[in-house]
Amino acid sequence: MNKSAVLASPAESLLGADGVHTSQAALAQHALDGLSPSVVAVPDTSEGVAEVLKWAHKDGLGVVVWGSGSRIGLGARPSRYDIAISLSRLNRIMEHDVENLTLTAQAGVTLLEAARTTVAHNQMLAAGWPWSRRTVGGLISANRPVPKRLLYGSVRDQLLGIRIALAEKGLVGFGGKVLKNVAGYDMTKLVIGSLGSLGVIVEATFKLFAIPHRETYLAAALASPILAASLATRLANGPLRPACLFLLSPLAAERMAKAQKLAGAAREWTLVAGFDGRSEAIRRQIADARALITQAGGDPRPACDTIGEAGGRCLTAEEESPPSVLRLRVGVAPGDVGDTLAYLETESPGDEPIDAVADHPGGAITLLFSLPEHPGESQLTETAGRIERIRAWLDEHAGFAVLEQAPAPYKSRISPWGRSSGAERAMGLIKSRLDPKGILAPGRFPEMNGHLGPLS
Amino acid sequence: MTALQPDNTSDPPARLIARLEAIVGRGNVLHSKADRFVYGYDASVFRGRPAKAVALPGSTGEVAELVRLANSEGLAFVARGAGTGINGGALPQEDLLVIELSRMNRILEVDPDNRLVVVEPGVVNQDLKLFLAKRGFGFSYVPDPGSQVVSTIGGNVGNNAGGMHCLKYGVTSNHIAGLEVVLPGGEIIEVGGKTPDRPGMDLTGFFVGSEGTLGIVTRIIARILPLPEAVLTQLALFPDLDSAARAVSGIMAAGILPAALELLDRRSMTLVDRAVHIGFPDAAGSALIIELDGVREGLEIEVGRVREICTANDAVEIQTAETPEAADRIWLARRAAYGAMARISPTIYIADGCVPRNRLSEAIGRAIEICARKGLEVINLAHAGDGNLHPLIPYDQTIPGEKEKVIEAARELLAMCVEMGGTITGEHGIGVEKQEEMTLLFNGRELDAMFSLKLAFDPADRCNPRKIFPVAMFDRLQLSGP
Repeated sequence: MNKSAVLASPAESLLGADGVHTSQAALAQHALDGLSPSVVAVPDTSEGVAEVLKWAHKDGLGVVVWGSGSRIGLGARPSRYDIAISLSRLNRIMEHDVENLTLTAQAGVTLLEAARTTVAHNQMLAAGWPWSRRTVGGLISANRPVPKRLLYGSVRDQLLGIRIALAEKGLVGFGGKVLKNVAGYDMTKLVIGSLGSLGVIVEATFKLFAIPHRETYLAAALASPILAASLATRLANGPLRPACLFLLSPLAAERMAKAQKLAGAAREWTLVAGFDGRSEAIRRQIADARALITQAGGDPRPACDTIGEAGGRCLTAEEESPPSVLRLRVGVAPGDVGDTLAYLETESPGDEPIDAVADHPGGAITLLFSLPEHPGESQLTETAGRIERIRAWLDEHAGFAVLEQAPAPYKSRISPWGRSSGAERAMGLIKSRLDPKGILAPGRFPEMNGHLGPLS
Repeated sequence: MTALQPDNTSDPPARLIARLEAIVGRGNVLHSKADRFVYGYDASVFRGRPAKAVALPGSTGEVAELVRLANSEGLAFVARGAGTGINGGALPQEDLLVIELSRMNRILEVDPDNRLVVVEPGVVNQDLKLFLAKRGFGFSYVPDPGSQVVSTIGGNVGNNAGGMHCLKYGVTSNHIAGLEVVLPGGEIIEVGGKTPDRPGMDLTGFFVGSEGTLGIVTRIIARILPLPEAVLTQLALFPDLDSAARAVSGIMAAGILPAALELLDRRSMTLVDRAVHIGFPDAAGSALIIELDGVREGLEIEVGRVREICTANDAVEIQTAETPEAADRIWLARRAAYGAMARISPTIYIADGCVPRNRLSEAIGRAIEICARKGLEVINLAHAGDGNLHPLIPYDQTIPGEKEKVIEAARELLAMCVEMGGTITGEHGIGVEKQEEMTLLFNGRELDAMFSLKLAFDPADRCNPRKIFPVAMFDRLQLSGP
């Protein structure tokens, strides 16, 4: 009997036949780095998730949790992969507390579904774009940069509470619905960015914001990334209150121009500033921003009141990329974004234009490499060497670079996480207590897994 | 809540003092009976044991050496900032070494490009604000706990301190980008940093608010924000608490996010008036201070909307400060409150709980009932925007049984907050005060999960021992060993 057949029966006894998928199609759909799970568990209750984990913990089965799958490529190849837990049926909004501006949603709820609920009361979840099919659980697990973090904060600033299924201890809840809460350890913070390695988030409570009266974007062409970045710093550090500041390389700006008229002429470094608020405040800020752009030698385009889904996807590099694309997520201090982009330009072999977008306040640069899908040895060596060079440069600037997506041959050659930050030991220690048998996302954080021993 | 600890500690051995002095220098170890005795106190109503000795390190290296020495001596230790905590979190629960961080008070770096500062833990909150203001950086460090003139950033980080501007700007945790921490075993690690969103768990957020039980923070990277172009402050007076609370809900429902929304009840208004002569009219049963900040153009419209909302909710008077001096005068009504209380009672118990914002008025009403049943007076201040209530209970601790009555009332208050969907502490932490109340909020598995992390970092419970978790959990640990 194959492993699927062996695992299907206990899984079905926990979730019922409709909660377990073992078809080749389902398994292939949840394959990761060439590895398929033996079963796909699709629980429709939090308790169901906890039951599956309990079973996996008892039998030592490797588990990977799936939200929308948009960042499932993050992390190393799992060392064990028996069960994929899909949260697609954990998709209920538990409570929209209109008066207190909070939303409690199951982890599989998408940002789009959250937006559909909250818009009726003129409120929004500001943790991501309202059209996004990403799940709230995935947003927390992958700690996705919030597009308008300057105004609304990042995921850690918006998340108030979680319910999480732990491997050994079952369902537990931390944090709550209130804005201030300092009872016990802030366990909600630990799951942010943990990529499902500590437990399975089943429910989350976020604070909401009022939908602004108006949102406006202003784009400007600038001669270099350094100029664009220093302008972004000036805009962020003065009296204006931009909601977002994105930098696009000429190649990315060209794509933006095609998707959305905002960027105007292509092939130039482009700064996009977004403002949310009352019309009067926005008018004034756009006028001031224009003046600053012109002073900096930039060319401001006409302001625009919406960028829509296509424009938003360009800004946060969320276009569907073909499987041949390698996506590198670079992190630096916001003040180093300009220098980093300039370095990446000069580093590019043969002065090939780079395809990069940067969320300036988040210090988050997404770099896309279009590569041959079936590379020869020399191509692999060259790409691995290039990423190694970039990482060495980033090391000097307290930055990092992680692989968000890469065709399989590249992923087997390039470390997905890069260099250790020194905090992995502490992370390993935490994981060892919350997931003592290491069944969750096994092997996906090898640096952390290497430090499961006592600390001192 | 743990009982008072008897003072039966012996003088520290000369050998220990010599080793401490070898690390931090001769003048930086306190060990006289009087010195050790006073470190058994903090701003809370509780009392710990006298310290075994007090060491004042001047660097991260010295902190790490002290921690290693303590471990080698089998001695527990506790980090201490200004001692302004009201939960007893800095009190020695056993014969231990106090590591006082007041000498580590340097502002190491101001980094305007990244909107960050790097500071040592002993920097006083207000000193950082004044430093930024005087040097004209155009930025401010926003968190402003009531104790800001004396409390340290390290203590604020340890307790994840709140303040008056949390509604819009968040609590201390939201302003901390990275930490250097000496772990309980003496290892030094860095978490977070100037680069946002590093891969992996948010350890910075985990250490903030852990009340010094997971390690000692020795360096802090904190966010600073550009000063708002305009700040407009209003004072609205209402006939009663309910109408003020309705106005709060109305303001939020209108999509306005004030920087601060502070509520005073009639009793606190009377006391404040007596102390600083604000001149509240008799018809006013509650006062709301509303501060809006941001870009000037939108702000004036919002001030008008707030005025309309307050009027629609029966406000008897609304003042808008036209000058910074007038705004200071309005804020005086709130800031003078604690001092004003001191005029009526030698001791004041500050309760701290949170409820969902729309139940604040009901919670305050019930707090008044709870205290009345016990024959206690209560004065209410609240960070209304956050649903964070602070019933203040004046009492005389020299009257036998009085303190116990207050503590009983406080327990009932916390149970009420939890029942209403809130929490047992909004901004002051657990310390020794609310250890047993943790069970109101967390079940056994949740407590076990958190406690397992405490033990992962500190298997022998040496780092600020016997805090946060119910005492029985520590007792079990002593029976079974780590």
